Amino acid sequence: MPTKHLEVKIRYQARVAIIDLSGEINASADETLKPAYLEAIETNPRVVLLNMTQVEYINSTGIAILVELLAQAYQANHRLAACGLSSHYQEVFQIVRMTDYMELFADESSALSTL
Amino acid sequence: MTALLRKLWQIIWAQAEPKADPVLEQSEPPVAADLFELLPGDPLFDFLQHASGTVELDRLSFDSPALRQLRAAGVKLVASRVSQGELIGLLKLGKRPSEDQTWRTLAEFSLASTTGNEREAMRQVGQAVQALSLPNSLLDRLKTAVAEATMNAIEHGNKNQPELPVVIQVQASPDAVRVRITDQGGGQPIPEPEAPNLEAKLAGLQTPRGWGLFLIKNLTDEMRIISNDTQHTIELTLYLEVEKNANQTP
Repeated sequence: MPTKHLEVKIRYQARVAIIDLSGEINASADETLKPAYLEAIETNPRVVLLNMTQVEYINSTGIAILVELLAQAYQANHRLAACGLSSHYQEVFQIVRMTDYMELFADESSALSTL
Repeated sequence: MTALLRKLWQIIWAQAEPKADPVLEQSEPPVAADLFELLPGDPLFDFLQHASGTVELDRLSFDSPALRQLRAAGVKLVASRVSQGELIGLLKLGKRPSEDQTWRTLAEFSLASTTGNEREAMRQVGQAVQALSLPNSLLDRLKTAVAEATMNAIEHGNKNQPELPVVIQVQASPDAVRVRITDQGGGQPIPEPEAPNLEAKLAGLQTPRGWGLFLIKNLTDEMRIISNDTQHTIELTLYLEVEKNANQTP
């Protein structure tokens, strides 16, 4: 079964940089996610929100890529949040303890009203 | 094997550090697990001073009087019993819960060792267990654990050689579902990776990778690795009752 690549789109709303992710967060996501994050923080947003509503699959390599992003944000004192994760991947994020460092929201509107 | 012991086993298995285990910190031994006195000076005592979590006696290569006694009694799993920071004995956990089950095979198939085939493994395992009407949360856990074990088999066991198959067997019992994933990379034990530490990873002190086995262990009730000269098999078991009980927790 061929792997699906991750597609990203960056939007800005009220100093929140929203990265819409679509597809799979696997090893190939490295090529798209990191450059997207670097582009998103260029405007110095208050927070970067990963919108994962359209994410179908995340594997352990994808988790590692997200941890790298989180490390980058953490070391630069930037805020990183996520929304739209399925309940299963919310559980995975909790197991990995990424939720200790990254706020999760049910959807984009609840994220934007809180952030 | 009672549901309580299965849950206990699950809790203990999931713990990396016995001192952080709420079960082991209870003042009384849990029901259905016996306390076994272990004398200082026995090699098993020395081993357990440094071991964490549940220990499989079958995997120990040294000899000791306590080990012989436990094996003769049919005990395969033990966990340290610690009081005030000191090892005072063992919890005899007996057999693995999955050994008490009667299994029927739902499907067996093989996949080429190519990147992305873990998604095909998820799809076919999902199809094989469809008739069981598993709760979505359990099905998602099973599929993710299968995907991670298949990725390991493709990348580490079969070294991404497409002609080497990954064989997947799906089985069910009245109480559980079990998947065995076999690669052709036997002959040496699967190395236990460094336990992932998020703080160390965020500080750049540990590679951001290394989550695969950790996820598998935390998403399943039992994970067992069986190796021989030619193959590795990783066996994943999830219990339906534990899931049902977990769903009933407010």
